[in-house]
Amino acid sequence: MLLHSRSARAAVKAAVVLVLALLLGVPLLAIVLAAFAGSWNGVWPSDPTLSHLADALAADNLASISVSLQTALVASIGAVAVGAWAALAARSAPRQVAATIDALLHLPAAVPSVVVGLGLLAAFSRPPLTLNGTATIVVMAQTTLVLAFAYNTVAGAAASLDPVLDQVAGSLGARPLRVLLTVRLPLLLPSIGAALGLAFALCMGELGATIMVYPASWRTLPVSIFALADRGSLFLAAADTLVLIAVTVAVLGLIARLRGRTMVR
Amino acid sequence: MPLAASGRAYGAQLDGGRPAAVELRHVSVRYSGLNAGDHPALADLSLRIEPGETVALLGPSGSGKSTALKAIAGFERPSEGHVLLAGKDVTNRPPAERGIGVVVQSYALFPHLKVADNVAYGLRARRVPRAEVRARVSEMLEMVGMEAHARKLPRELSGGQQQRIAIARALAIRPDVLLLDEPLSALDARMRQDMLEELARLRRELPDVAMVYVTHDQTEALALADRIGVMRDGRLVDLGTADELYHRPRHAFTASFLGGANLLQGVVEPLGAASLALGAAAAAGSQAFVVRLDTGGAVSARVGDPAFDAGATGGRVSVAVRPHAFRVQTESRAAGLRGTVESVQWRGAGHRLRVRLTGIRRGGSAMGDAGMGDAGRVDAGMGDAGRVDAGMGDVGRVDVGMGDAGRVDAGMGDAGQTVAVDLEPFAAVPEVGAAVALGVVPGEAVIVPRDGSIGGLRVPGASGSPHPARNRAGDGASAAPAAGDGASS
Amino acid sequence: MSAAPATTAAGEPTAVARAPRIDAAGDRKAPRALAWAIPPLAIVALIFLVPLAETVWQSVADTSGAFTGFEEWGLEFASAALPKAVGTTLWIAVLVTAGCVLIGTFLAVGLSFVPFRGSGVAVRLLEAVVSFPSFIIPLAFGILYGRAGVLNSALAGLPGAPHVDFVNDVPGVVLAEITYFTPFVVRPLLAVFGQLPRELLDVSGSLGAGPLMTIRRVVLPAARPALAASAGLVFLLAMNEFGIIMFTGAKNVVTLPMLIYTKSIVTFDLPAAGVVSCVQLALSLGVYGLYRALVRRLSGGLRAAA
Repeated sequence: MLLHSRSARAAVKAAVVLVLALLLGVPLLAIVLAAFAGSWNGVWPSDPTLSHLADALAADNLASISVSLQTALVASIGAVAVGAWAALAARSAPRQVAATIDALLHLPAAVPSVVVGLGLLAAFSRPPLTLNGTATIVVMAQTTLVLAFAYNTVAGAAASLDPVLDQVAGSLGARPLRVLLTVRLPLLLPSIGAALGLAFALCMGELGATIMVYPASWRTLPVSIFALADRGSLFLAAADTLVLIAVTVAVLGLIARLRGRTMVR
Repeated sequence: MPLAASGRAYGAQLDGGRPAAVELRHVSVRYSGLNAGDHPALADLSLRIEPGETVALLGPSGSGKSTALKAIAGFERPSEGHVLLAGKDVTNRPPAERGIGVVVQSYALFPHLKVADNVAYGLRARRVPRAEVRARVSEMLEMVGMEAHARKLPRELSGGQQQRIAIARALAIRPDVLLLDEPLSALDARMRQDMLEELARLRRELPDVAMVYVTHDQTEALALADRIGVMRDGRLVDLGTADELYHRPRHAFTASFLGGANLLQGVVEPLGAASLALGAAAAAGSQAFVVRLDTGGAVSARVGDPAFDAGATGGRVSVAVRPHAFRVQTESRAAGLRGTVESVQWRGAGHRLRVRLTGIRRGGSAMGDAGMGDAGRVDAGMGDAGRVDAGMGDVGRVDVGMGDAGRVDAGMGDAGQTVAVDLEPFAAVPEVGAAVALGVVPGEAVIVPRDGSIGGLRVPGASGSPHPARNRAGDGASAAPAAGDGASS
Repeated sequence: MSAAPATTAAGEPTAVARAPRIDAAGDRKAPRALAWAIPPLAIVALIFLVPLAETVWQSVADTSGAFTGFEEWGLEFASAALPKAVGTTLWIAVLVTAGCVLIGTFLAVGLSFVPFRGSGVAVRLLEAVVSFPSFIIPLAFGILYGRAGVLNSALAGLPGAPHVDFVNDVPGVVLAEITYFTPFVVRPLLAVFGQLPRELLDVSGSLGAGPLMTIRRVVLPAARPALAASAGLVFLLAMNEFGIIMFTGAKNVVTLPMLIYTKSIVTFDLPAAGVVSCVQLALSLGVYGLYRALVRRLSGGLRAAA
């Protein structure tokens, strides 16, 4: 026990609660309240209304939600596939190669999202591969940005896998492909699931690179929210944010349930 | 041929015909990377293991015993040498093609597979028909007494149960060779004893399977192994049956690691012989030699290794005496070793003393050999300084002896040595600080090369020229063990 | 993009390099292992390395991709905007890092050693926030502390109260980023403190150390590697942050990412954007390299000490 004095404990507790409230509680509460506020001219909002939420779920916005969902799903699955593959390849590669893979796959996390977006525009605005103005370029941007996290999650789990398990599987007569399918992948499944959830959540909220590359026909929810906030429609933006978080949490729950079903452990 | 390989190690070569279950030919393993350039993890190991034989590799951690096992399993690729299984060179084959059963220290059960699926893993990898898999799995589980747990996951089992499953899994593929890497080290003391008996039973039930058992625990090695290989610093220091290694250790290290012998430094008597081929002398009939100890006193000791040439070290040898081979004697009797009791530890069944050797007033060897030396002479020669006449007057007075010891101490680095002494059951227990005389049970003191010669390992050939030793007494059976001990006993 | 869970990256960017390897017949397997590494690396090259190279090339080429020379570089470096943006970027990153380290350490110590009912929920919430979109913080700040926000409405009722207006300037950006990035410091510290044996604290106390001395001599030294790593991470994230600044609508807070966005999307000056990107890349990669070296050294030091 660090603090024995009751009053000191109380003081520290109060301070922690206060900081947490300012840091997390108040902003989150403000978003929720604003989403349901008809007007907010005092300390508390007034005229509770569902109209913002209704607007957020109107046809126009539903399209944005659908675009965000599709982009995030494809991008996160792609990122996890590439990241997990790279993590497994790094694990069985010679040390130097493994270090190179590790450095390269972590690199996108160090590059600002705007630079990633600008790079995609620079690379794919002219033949041979003209992707500017398509949904593909948005997917590519988000895939790149979450790649490092997907890789890192799986690589961490792969590194903590006991190599003796592989060796024993080999001594029992299993070829490398069988070892991969019956030992490594099943054991990495939890981390792959976690990587997928993480990548999906990040893609759903991605703004920096998306805003650089998105075409008018493929507008994700964060871009819509930004447009609303920029116009000053903060309540509507708050309602849209709530919807965004709700959809994200729902999909994360789904991923978690799938993980629970496929996982033996 | 490296040292320990002479005679004993290659015994199996004599029986010709049938290929060894496992044969290592000059296998070295060098780890690339950080520690490269230091001594290799495994250096020039040659070893034959016959079908049905159990060989224990015994050594402290880092001695290379696990590396040797990994080289056999194919987990580690030898940088030099060859690994043969049943006469076939498998050095470059992956583990999957070797068909060896391996049980590792951590068990390495697949955590996501049920017990039955763990046991079935190797069979499925071999595409054994489903019905046969089922039959073999239940047979194996029955063998290790785990039928009731087939549907459980490994983490639902205790350590001992996981161990049984790991063994069942390794045996399910009907391997000709079973490798066990410290299989009991993760268990608590009691569990270990039970599993040891279990392993001994399995050993009897699988008469054709060759086993390699890696351990740092001599009890396990003595209980299970037909032959024991003692390893140190990546080298096989000694190899032989448990009985040979215990009673005729070739090295100080073997003696101290197997049975916890005290090592006393000394010079073979009589001095003056520049070179002494003790083994040859022993073979020629003499059994006991007198060794004058650096700490003072002398013991009568026999030679462990018939090939040992004390001449190479100028007659300087170590004498290995196990704690239970000492006898505390009454002060009045002339005896070989004197000292003061530093500590007494009650171990339930008996007492262990630590005795600081404090020199000698009478250069007699142990028990019954008394009165052979000239009194008052102390061997102070750590280097080749020769012998110092301490010129002590009164033989019987302890205080003189003590004073003398103090003086000698100043001159000799080794003089303050303590030895562990196990008292006989029900023997009188001396007080801490008491002066005691120690005798050695006849035949229990063994001459071994000084430990310093192990690091560089005695070169073969140095044991060549037999010199007649001056000291010959009685006649003795040949101390050289028959070479053909390779076959399982 | 929040670059959020790089917290996990904080601990183990060298994880793979440290992993025990299976060297069974290593040389023979090496070519196959290399072949397996090619597909993912090819994809990374296509979607990441090629665009990066194109960005760099763009700074010395025209729109058709032909080399035009380094004129644009001269122009950009001569302008006042670029050095100013570099300064602003670094200054904000420094402020944010300092704020996050201070607040994060306080919170982690408080939550670990003086737990209260509900602290478990708070920890869970802290962990969840990093996967929320980063713009919820500036959005909430706008609602709460903006020119027409809740705070100003409330203050307006009080006579003589000041009009609060910091959201659309550097303080707003810094506060928003501190709010969003603090969990990146708290999470690794909580992990470290969770593994700190309680006995150490008890023994320290029984030897006569007061709480502050225990924190200074026992708790914080244990946290130093994690703290250094997460500080480096926050610095990098703050340097690269774009969404939060964009959402704050702080027109006069022009960091490098903002400048890149303005040059490329608003004024379509792609070569200029390329030059600024190169500067940003150099800074980001430099900081990232330092960060990785730091983490490797700290974890290496830990291993040596263990």
